[in-house]
This record gives sequence, structure tokens and C-alpha cells, in this order.
Amino acid sequence: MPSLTVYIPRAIALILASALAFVAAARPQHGDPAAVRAPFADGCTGGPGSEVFTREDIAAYGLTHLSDVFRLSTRWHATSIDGYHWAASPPGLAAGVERWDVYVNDVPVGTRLLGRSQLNALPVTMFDVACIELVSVPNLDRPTFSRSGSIRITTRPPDRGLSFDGIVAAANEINDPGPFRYTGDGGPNVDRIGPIGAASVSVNPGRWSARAAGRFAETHVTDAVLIDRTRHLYDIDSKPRIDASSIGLTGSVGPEDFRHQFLIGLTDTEDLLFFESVGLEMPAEHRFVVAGGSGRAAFNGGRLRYAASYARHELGPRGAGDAVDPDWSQQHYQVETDARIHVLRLGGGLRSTTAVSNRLGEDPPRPTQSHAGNRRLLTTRLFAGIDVAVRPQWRQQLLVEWSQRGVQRGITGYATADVRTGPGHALVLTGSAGHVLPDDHGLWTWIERDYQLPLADAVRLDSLKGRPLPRLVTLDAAWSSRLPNRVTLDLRGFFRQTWGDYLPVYERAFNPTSHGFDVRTTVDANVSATRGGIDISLRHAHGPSFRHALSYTFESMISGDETSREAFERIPQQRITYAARLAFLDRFFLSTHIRYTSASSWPGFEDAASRSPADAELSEYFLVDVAATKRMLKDHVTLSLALRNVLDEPIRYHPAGAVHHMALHVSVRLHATSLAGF
Amino acid sequence: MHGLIPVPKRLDGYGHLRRLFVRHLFLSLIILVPGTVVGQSAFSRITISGGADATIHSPRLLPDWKPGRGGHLSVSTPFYFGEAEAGAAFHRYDAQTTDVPRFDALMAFVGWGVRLAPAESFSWYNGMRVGSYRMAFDEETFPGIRNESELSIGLQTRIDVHLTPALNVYIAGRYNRTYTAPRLDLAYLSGGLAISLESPEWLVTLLR
Repeated sequence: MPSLTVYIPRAIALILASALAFVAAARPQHGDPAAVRAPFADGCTGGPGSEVFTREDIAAYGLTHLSDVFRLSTRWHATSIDGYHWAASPPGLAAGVERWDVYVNDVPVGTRLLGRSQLNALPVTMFDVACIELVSVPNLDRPTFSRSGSIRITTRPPDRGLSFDGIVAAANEINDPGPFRYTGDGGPNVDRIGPIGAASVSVNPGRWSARAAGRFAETHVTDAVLIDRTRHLYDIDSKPRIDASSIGLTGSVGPEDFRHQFLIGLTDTEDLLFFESVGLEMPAEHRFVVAGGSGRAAFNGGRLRYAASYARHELGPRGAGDAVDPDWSQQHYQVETDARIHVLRLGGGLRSTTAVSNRLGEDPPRPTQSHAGNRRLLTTRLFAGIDVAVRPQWRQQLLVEWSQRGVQRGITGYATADVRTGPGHALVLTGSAGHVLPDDHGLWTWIERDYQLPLADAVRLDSLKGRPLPRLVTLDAAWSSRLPNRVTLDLRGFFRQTWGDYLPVYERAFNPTSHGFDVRTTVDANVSATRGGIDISLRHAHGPSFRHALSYTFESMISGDETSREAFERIPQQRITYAARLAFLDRFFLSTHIRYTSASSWPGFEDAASRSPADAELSEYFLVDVAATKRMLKDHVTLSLALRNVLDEPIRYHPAGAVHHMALHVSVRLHATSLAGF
Repeated sequence: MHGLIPVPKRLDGYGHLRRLFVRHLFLSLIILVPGTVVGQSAFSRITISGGADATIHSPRLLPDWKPGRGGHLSVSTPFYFGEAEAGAAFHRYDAQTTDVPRFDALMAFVGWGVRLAPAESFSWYNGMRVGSYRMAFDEETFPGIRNESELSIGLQTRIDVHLTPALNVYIAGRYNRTYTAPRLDLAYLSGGLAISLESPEWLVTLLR
């Protein structure tokens, strides 16, 4: 029987050919490209293959960090060492290697640093967020159609006039010893979570708007395992913690069809970075600077969009000697543009990443001189295609993208068919096939260029030069239907196949001195895997006061080699969430979020598990959160009380990570606005 | 094991789930089912309650500590459904040995419950509380950690005798679990006075 690798290219060819066949009968697409998508407020499109979490969700569950959104997601799988930093992967893609992109108001913000997500480094406060969209499929309505997933954050437009927002939040995880510390019965102290504070001032005279925001957040490392690992690295008076503070400015100008948005921000984090290849936390001072803009202009028969950004990461030592100095500076420029002229889609992007570090080799870094090739990465991509309405209910897109970085060139084809089969029913088929460029923000990209992480053994990595680029095929079929009685059903099947990908393989041994792991890392640069699964989501609204949703995701490996098997076994095969919200007179809300996650295996920790607190298998768990939110003082004050993990399951998201128990989260939010305007 | 705490294993058959429902929620339901909602308008009245508490059950603290004086002050009001309350309770625990310090505990809480009023002169309230249990240890004899806060969840049942439309006397029984490790379970018997007032219009507007 021929393998799937034979059928997939044929299926893609069939999709492309059928799409081309419709071009002859096509007419220009002037309608709303998101017409068949689920509607959300404040410019969030949603749609099959994406999960949207709105401002109401954020308020209802008392979320305080951007990364908290992974707690609500069914489709994306996320792990965490400390509960602050989260590593996430969209369905169908390997865990432990993040390649997804982040956008704020369509501005690309390079939040990833040496392969680690730094979502909380964004200078955006949670109460200024209109929605967070986790996109799992290539979305061809956006200038960049990432096949490795993307996170799109949309900030809410400020209220008319002058407005002020502020929030103070804190939490307490259980299991402090209390008086039993003196009787010998109690365990170690469990520190508080937070405090977290943020404030913003917004101006919106009508034609333009701007918001200045500031935020600080303390995250105390409360788990004894983490405390033992980190206390060996540097001397501090109290227990180790992560302190973040940020300032940011966002704004927009112009009407809807000619809107231009901008973002400027800076975040300083006294950080603890856990790299798998180091095996313990690395204390570091992290500075993240981002500035950028995006905009659109509609004209008769078409539309032009653009986005440009600058991002800089700097990592320096934090209370430790040079031996633990990551010594890393990375600058990132990115420009994207996209035009639609009748049925034609044209666009492209340019991305430049420059790294400076004394750990990039023995020679002093001189990015503009002889070693420039090793330290600056320039990526160019161009795409062209068609975007047509074959029938009033049938929209077809076909795109081909060419990309180049150095001597590496790639080509990728995309096709999507968006069909409204009836009132409230939509079918979306999306496929892509082609090369994948290495991640400019990835750790292995820089290790290949001789970067050395402190405390890490040398990583065995064969040079990728001369090797063909990894290839990825994606297929998604999504069905969205509005059923009677205000029930909405979303079904999606997905398929991912990779060839020639590279993934790390870790050999770990527990180190009783450092309480961390001694790690030998090898990067396998020829990984093949086939992965598939389904998403089912059922939403129901009973009048304006009660809404609930049930979501289910199943994903599994169909075939793959040993390296990919290890990467995918980390991902729980089944995830189920149930979320419900009950509103009383639009002033008092009761919410619950119930999550079931099946067990996962971490074969790379098997050798270390017998001598350390790390379990090579994470058991299944139920995570139940309940929250009450009360608006008062004419909506100027919102009180939120959330009990997370009320079943008190000892939950661990990573074998080397903290164990999380029940916690009480409290937040008070202030909102004031001048109704007079300007 | 190098000072590391062992990772607790989940009980077989979702023991936590069973334990929670059997011990807490089921008990709450048993108590709350008899309650009915009195016809009400949210925040229309404010009731200020204050009284004394006697700790009648504190097995974990014995024999190292002896419960001392205690009292509580709370404000309650009709909510959209049932009654909501907020307040604080103070309790002192005197050391019985020189190995442990005296400590004062202050529980700041919010609560919710339902009231059954079979007659004008009598009502029965059942509810639950969630709050923070702050323990302040005697730092003079035991320098080091001065205080600690922990999540606390409680149940209460209370009988009010209405002397006048504005004045009640009541007795109450309360059970509190504070989520220290190990758990600190305490039961109290309370009594006190409650003054009930019509809420001023501005306060109703603000709270709504």
C-alpha cells in the first residue's frame, strides 16, 4: 500500500489544480474576506483553526499575564517550568521547538529569544487587550501566513476622551506551613504570587488615539525544586524571583480603511531562564525593546497593507559572575507588505537579524566585518497569487511564496477554499506544501554559528550548510455551523508532515550538587514525522446571561522516527475543556473553566528520573478554576476573585518544573473615563 | 533527598475530586438546600454583625497551642441571589510550650449564603466563606518569619432572633479549613449582635 507521503503531494496537486480551474470563472473579490468567520468584537476575526480569547474571558478568569492565555487553550499545548514562562506549540507541531510568530495590532514583534517564548515581555497590559487569537493554520488573510502558528494580540481602542485604567493583583498558593513550621510537621514556605500592577492613560479625540501604559510584576519561585536549583547560581537576600517592569505606547490614526497603528515599548526583566540544554535556571537581566507600525489603505478594487518593526533583546548577567553571563544581544528588523489588486495578491517581506556576543566564537564580534556572515541573517520572501470569489459563496485563494536566506532558498505553495454552504455554515479547506526556513530566533540557528550557552556542554550539531531545507506539508479541513438554539459547532481535522526537520535530543543526568541536570544535547537534522488530529468545539448561549463551550482536541503521531517520537510524546494526546459563564444583570459574573489533559511521556528524563524529583511521565489531570467578578461603582471598579485548581491536583507541566497546587487570585481594577472628550 | 519535597501523587480514582465533593460541596448543599431566597432587591439593606468567637475544635493545634480570645465583624447585604458578606475574624492562639510562639490569626473573607425566614422573629442563614487567613507569630520570642497568609474556606450556619426590625441577636457555628500543610481545621461557636439598616441610595448605586 503506498504510504501517505505519496498521497499527500497528489492531494495538494489536486487542490491546486482544482483551484486553478476556478480562476477562469472567477470574479474579483470585493467582499469582506472574513465574512464567513465567526464575529468577534474589536477587529478579532477568529475562524476555523484559531481560538479567540476576548477581553471578557480575560476579565472573567482573572488573567494577569499574556501567557496565562495558554491556560484557557484547548488546541495549543503549553508547558512551563515556573508558571511564568510558557513554551507552547500549536496542534500537529513538535513540542519544545517554538517557531510561532507574535503580532500586536498586526505589528510583528520578535518576542522569541534563543528559542524561548517571551510573551510576557511585551509592553502590553492584559486589560488593554481586546482579544488574543491563537492561530493554528496558515491564515491567508494576513500578510504573513505562518505555517508554524501565530499569536495575534489586538488591543482595544481607547474610550472616547481621556481614560485611565489600573489594576492590582496578587495570589497565594496553598501549602504554607503556618504554625506547623514550629512543630516540625510543616513543609517549606510557599511564597506568594505577585503582586502585579499596571496602569494606562489613553486619549481618543476621535481621529486618532494613543495609550501609554506601565506594568510591573513579581513572580516568586515558590517550588522547592526550583529554589534548590537556583540558589546555587547566585547570592540573593530573599528567595529567587522574576521581576518584570515595562512601559509602552500604542496608538492609531485614521478611519477603518486607512488606519495606521504604532507600538513602542521597553521591558526589563530580572529573569530566570531555563534552557533544556543547560538543565537549570540561568539568572539573567533581560531587556526587550520593540517599536513598529502597521497600516492599511483601501482603494477601488484593492487594498494595501504594511507592517514594519524593530525589536532588540539584550541578555546580561544577573547577580552572578561571568561564568553565567549569557552575553547576548540580538536586533531584529522586519518589513512586511501585502497588496490585493482585484484578484491578484502580491507581497513580500524582509527580515534582518543581527546578533552580537562574545560567546559567538573566539574572535571579537564585528558584525560588519569578516564575520558578518555568521552574525547577520537576512531573509527575503516574496509571494504572488490570486484571491477570487468563484461564486458568491465560494472564495478561493492560491499563493506561491519564494524565500531566501543566504544561499538557502525555499518555495511554498498555499491554497485555501472558503465555502459558505448555507446560512451560518462554512467549510474551509487549507493546504500548504514547501520548505521551512530555519528560525532566526531559534537557539540552534545561533549554536550552528558557534554561540555557546553558559553552563551548557557543547551541543553536537552538524552544520546545516549544504543540506536541503526542511519541508512541511499542512492540510486542514474546518467546518463551522450555526445550529438551532444558538448552538455553534466547529469541527477541524488537521494533518502535518515534516521531512528533514531538526530537533534536539537530550541525554540528562541528575546533578546532586547543582540539583539540576547535566545535559548532552545533539541536534538531529534529519527528522521526519507525520501527525494528525481533530478539534471539536461546541458553543451554546442561553440568552444573554449564560454561555458555555465544550472543546476537545485529539492529536497523535501517525509515523515518525525516534527523535520525533520523543518530541511528540511530550504532547498529551487528548485535551478537553469546558468553560461556562453566568452573568447577573451584567454586573456580576460567575465563571468556571474545567480542563482535562491526558498523560504525557518525557523519554528524555527517564535516566534522570530515578535520581531526581523529575518524573519521566506526567500523569493526566483535571484542572478546575472558578471565578467571581463584580463590577461596581458604575463600572469604575471591577473586583475579581478566582480559585485556580480547586481540586488541588498536584499539577506539573514539565518534569523539571514546579508542582502547582490550588491558589487564590485576587485583582482590583479601576477604570475611569471623561465623557466630554476633547 | 537533598532537601527536595516529594511530588504528591494524584490519588487513584480521582480521590481529590471525590474528597472535595463528599467533604465540602455535598456538605454545603445539605446545608443550603433548606434555604430559600427572601424576596429582595440587591444591596437594599446593610447588616453589620459583630460578636465573639470561641474555638471549639482545633485538634491539629493541640497540645502546642490553646485557643484564646476571638471575635468577628462583618457586613452583609442582599445580593442578586442570596446574601453576600465581607468581613474579618480575629483569633488568638496561646503557646502551651516554649517550643512554639504565640500567634494571632486574622481571617479576611468574602462570603455568600442563603437565608430561610420561616417567621418574622426568626431566620436561619447558611453560607460559605473564602478568604485569607493571616497568621502573625510572636517575633519577640521567635525571630524569623513574622507572618504568613494562607487560603481559607469556611462554612457557617447562623440563627438570628429579630428583636426589632433593625436589631438581631444570633448564634452561629463555623467550620474553617485553612490550606496550610498540614491542613488547619478549626470550628467555632459564635454569638453576637447585628444591626440592619436601609442602604442609602448612593450606596446602592455604587454597589450595583
